[in-house]
Amino acid sequence: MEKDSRWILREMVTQRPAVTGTDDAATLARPDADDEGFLRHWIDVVADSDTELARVLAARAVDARRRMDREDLVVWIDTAMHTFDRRGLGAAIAVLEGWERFASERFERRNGLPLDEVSGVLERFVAGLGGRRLELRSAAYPYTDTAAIYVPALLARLPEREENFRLYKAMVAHHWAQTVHGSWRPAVLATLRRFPDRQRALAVFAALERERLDARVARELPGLAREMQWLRAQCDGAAPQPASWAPFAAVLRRHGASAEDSLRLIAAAADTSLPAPACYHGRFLPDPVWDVLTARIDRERQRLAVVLGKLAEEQDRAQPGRSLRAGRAGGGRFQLGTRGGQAGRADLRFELRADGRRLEPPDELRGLLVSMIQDHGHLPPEYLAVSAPAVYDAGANERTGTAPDYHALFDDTGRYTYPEWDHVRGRFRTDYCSLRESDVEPGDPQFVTRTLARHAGLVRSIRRTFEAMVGEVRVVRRQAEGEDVDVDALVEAHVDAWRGVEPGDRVYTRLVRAERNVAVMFMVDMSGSTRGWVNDAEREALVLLCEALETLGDRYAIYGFSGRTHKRCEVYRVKRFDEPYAAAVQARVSGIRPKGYTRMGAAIRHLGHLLDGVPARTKLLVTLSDGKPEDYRSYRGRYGVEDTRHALLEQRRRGIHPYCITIDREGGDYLPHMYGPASYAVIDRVDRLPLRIADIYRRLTS
Amino acid sequence: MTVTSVRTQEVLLDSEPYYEPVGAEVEVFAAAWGNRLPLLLKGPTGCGKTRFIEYMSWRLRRPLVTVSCHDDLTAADLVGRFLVKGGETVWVDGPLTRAVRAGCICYLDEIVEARKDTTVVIHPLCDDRRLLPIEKLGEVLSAPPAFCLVVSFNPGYQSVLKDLKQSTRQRFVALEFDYPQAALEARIIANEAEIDADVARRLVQFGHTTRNLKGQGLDEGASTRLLVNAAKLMRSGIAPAVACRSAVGEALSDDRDVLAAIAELAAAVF
Repeated sequence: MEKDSRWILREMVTQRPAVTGTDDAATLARPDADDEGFLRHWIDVVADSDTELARVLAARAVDARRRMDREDLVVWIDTAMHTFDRRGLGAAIAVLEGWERFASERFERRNGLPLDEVSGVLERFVAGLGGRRLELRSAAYPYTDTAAIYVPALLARLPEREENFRLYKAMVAHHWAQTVHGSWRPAVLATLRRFPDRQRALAVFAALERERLDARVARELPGLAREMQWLRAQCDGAAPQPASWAPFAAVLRRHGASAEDSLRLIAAAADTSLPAPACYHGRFLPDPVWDVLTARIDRERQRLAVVLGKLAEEQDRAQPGRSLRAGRAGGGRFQLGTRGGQAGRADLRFELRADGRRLEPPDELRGLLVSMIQDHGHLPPEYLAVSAPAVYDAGANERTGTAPDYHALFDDTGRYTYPEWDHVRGRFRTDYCSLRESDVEPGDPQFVTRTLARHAGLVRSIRRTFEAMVGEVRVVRRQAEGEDVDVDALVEAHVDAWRGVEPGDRVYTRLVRAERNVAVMFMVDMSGSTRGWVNDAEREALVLLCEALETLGDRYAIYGFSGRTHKRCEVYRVKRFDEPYAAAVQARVSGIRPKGYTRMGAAIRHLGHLLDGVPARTKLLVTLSDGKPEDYRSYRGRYGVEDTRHALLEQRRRGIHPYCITIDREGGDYLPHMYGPASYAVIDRVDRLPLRIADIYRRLTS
Repeated sequence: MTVTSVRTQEVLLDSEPYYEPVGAEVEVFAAAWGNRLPLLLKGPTGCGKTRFIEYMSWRLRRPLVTVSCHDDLTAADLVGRFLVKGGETVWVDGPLTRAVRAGCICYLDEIVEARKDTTVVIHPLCDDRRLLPIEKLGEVLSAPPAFCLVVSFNPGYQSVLKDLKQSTRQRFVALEFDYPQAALEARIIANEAEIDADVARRLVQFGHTTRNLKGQGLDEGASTRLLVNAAKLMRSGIAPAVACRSAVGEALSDDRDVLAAIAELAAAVF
């Protein structure tokens, strides 16, 4: 396409002061032909969205090209366009104008190592080390609050990525050691508070703990300790330890040294000069730890009461007459024994006994106990007492305990964001579509009964056909092995042998059960164009389909979709996978009504995501529609078709088979492109839809 | 002319298999066998169930028939079937029938994998009747006192389809197996792979780190068997990190992040 880019580019080159001089300068400033084509392409792409933005880009593209390679340049332009999509022109221009900072950040990012790239490995690494589950978050400097380990979002301290990864690992391991080896027990925090000069005491304590934990890591994880040594040599130089430090180090390097030893040494070490921390050591911040710790101790104690209460109740039910709850006759307590190691050790095992009977501790209990022992160093015995009321109060506490999460959830209930494929840009617009999930308003409950009565004959035949498909056990003949002898094949083999021909060895029969393992998601078009006949036909078709699927026992869900611009994509629940086909669902089927436009991409991505979570061997995503994707403004025509096609491709990659049933007679033009050949059915008359749909489904899944 | 499908040999071990008792399982097994009770072994993969059976087979001087169950294993595979031999149909006993006739220990490994129709033959064999009906021959075998049915089952697979029905499990004396305690596991590894006790101890430590990853990318941690494999590689001169990666990491997962984390854990421990 021949667009404004040519004159924009010409203008930007001629406008540049340096270029107005000699011809030489002009050729210098002018990008080579290949680059020019590249830049012009992107200016065109941007001009598609906004001319002004393209003008701003054109004015900076040549300079930016000198500092960035093409890949970075594309990321830069892409960032600007995303910003434009989400926050408008002003913000997008700011991105383009900040190209110099962008270029240097990209440079750093390329040579440094961002946390995002390695957090998956590091999180598992720290989980493997044992103890309470620790999250990994980014912060300006490393520290831990005992619920998460904070590390910088980007490390560029060492020249190689691999070396920066080692630094990350050492940071994470050191802070893991703090949480597991008792640097942050409530008693320690309380003692630290009592020092008159808290700041100094904390600094000394931190130095002592670093010494102790380094020694401990060296004993337990020698391979990691070697890497830590190497990092110290690289980053921290060979700063010698102050001579006065040696006696303290000697105490703390002993086997069995604890945080209490560090606390005891604070007074003695108060005036010595402290060794410098290593590059992987972070800060010791008692305040965030205190907040997290106190909240967690309360929460876990309540949780434990709930879990033990439930356990006691189960026991009571299993063995009536012997109540474990205090306050009843024969009331008792739980006893907990641990085997094999102390806090943070992977082989810590629990033996739970209730009045001398051994119980299998549930997984949840195990996690709680690990965390509690990590906080206290042991399990306070009073925690194991089960009092009758606590069991019931704790239910409420449990809810308040998770309140913060609830809150976060509440703000965003039923809202999801999905990317959209922009075929012009050749890439995704990330988090572009905002999608909301809600229930269909229930409609006339009589609709289903009426439909079933109207199509009584059809319903009977559907039931018959589909019943025959359930649990078919077929005898397969002529098998190399099987349960029984296939007499026909045996006779033939005999005859062959008798004639001197080599007889076949497939002389057995085998029973094969065709087990159905199908989950199907129906995606019903609720766009405005379905008003009238189409909507009625859709609803009737769904009623008949539900009959068929109930007979068959396949798992299925029904969702409607519509949309009006990318900010308001809607998905309407008619039936979830785990919902039974009952009155509520029937009312919702009859309540399906035309709404906005057909923005299909986001709906496909969302429903595909739901379907992906269902365990089934065969997964189908069946769209019931009356036409091609269409939405207000840009989603019309090729753009919408391409996004839909891309969304369907994504589902295929997940192992979901998309299929489309449409009543658009022109569907044959674009459906093969969107769904692929043999993945769609065009129904030429609306009133035929209910008759055909069960048949199509049968063909599809047998 | 035909391929015989299940052809499991009964084995009488002539040397003592290496086995370290964890609890009272040897005594319980012997007592159950003496009382003609069937046994159910529960436990994760690679924790020593099969080795235990071999050991008991040697100790009780009974031949062992092992059947690894798979999802296509039918009752006919266990009991027997007619085969075509030289123009005639010939009855061939299945492994279970052979074990009953000879008074062996019959070990059905991972019983939940087998088809549901196998319960038809297992149930009458497991209660006090101790009968094996052979429908196609119209015959009913009564198991001799020396016969013992042992099944194993891994409760770790939390799938509804892979659960043992109450009516089945309540016929068995159950023994639970788990990975041994650290010290014992180290001794087992050192003995099995003939490696240094210190290396074995480190391997166990590494094994525990992978078990911590259960539910966070792994379905199961490293079994004792995998650790023994790693130890054997190390004894042959493979570097610890490589041995752990090949024998343990790659065996547990295909996920790149998980593999990288396991490699880092191995590097940290050694």
